[in-house]
Amino acid sequence: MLRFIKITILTAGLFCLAVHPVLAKKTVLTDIKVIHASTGKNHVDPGLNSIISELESVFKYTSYRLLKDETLNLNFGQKGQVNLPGKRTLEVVPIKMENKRIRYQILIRKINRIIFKTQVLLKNNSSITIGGPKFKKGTLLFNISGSAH
Amino acid sequence: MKNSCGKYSSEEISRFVDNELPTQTYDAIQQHLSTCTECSAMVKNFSSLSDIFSHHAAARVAQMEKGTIAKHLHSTLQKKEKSTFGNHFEFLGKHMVLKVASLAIILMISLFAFQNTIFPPTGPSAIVKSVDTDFASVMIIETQKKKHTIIWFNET
Amino acid sequence: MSKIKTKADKAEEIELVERLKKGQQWAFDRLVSQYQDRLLKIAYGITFDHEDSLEVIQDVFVSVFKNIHSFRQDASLYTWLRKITINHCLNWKRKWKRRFKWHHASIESENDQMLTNESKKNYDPEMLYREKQFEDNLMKAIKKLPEKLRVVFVLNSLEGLSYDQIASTLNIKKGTVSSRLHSARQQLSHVMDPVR
Repeated sequence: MLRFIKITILTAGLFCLAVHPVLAKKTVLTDIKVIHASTGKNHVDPGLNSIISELESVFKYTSYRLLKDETLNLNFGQKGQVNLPGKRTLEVVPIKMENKRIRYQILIRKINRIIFKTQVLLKNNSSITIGGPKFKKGTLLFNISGSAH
Repeated sequence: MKNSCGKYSSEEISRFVDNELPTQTYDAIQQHLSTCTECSAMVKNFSSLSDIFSHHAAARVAQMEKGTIAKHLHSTLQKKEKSTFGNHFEFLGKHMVLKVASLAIILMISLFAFQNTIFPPTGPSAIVKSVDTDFASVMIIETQKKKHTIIWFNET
Repeated sequence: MSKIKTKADKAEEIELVERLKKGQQWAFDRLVSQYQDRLLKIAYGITFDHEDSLEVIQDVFVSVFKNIHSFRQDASLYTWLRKITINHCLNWKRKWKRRFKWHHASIESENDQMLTNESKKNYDPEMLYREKQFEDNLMKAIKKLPEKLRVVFVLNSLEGLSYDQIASTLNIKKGTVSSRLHSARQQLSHVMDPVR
């Protein structure tokens, strides 16, 4: 019986190893929304429906305008870049899968100077918002979502 | 605290205290200290801040009841031992049906775990591993409803 | 504070790591007794709380237990432990921040106000120079330092690290270390001499 268990476990192990590369995620669909939040006239762009309730639960802004929405299909280790208002650029690199999350490096530059750098473990098919830079009487928010395939 | 002497900036004095200046500048400041009471006071001041802080922290640590640290680690080690595969094999040895069923479950879990469909991770939408910015004010917030992670940095 | 490692120390450390990787309890006991005080000092310097420091260090050792296999011995064991401790302390503080309702505009101004009031309240030279009082005031001021400045100040004052070592521990530039340390000292010096 012990032999049977050993053989079965071994087969299971080999099977797992064999299917792993097939099921391993290869590309990461990364969506970047650039939002201008301000205390202007009440407004929410329809493109922000999925996250607006979360933003409103924290921020006191009354107007949320979607300035840009770009979807990048990135391989692990590949850099994606989006130009932002105010001579800023946003760079994202999906590094690897880690505990069912995507490890991302996110970097914001302002005229070639790195002003913000972070590494996050993003839940697959979920998003993170980064905010702070001032722009046109308001603030810029960047919503980055990742979906590994 | 401003350095009214004017010959050396307070940042240079700060680096002098830490011995982080080129030798030439270091020597020049050392010479200057014998005649300048302002800079001497600043050196003394900066050094004593660290000394008092270090002394205070050491005294507080000495008062701590540290037995809990090893105890906590022991319980983690023991939990790990209990959950080793060996114990499960013993259990499987007695029940033929369970053996097969367990192996089938192992197979299924392995398969689904790779697909990340059966056990999506819990917790915040993103775990922040590191943040680096030149700005002093960075905050990480998690919304109450969907645990959406927000990083806020003040760019001014 | 830093000492040069002898070959014997290094060999001893390699052996300890090997035993830790094998999960031997006495190796963990030794690790705890050897490093807990130094790590607690760092944790206390950042959290300023007895209970929090103890819990952070408990978590640090559990984290070492879970991740010892990934320790490659490029740096010394203590350097690795120190890095884990700092990360745990910073995450610990962030956890606390999350529990409060957040108003980014008001938080900073409130702190500034508190600091100013504190400085005004403590403007009494006789009292300031009483040793105990002074120490208390200094600790209050350190507690109020922005996290970034405090971490650098902790590594400099409690660990005696060079600017290069602090820079590599925190992944920041050497110049940033110098300016943060200088800012920290300037802010703390107001406790010493609030008149200026």
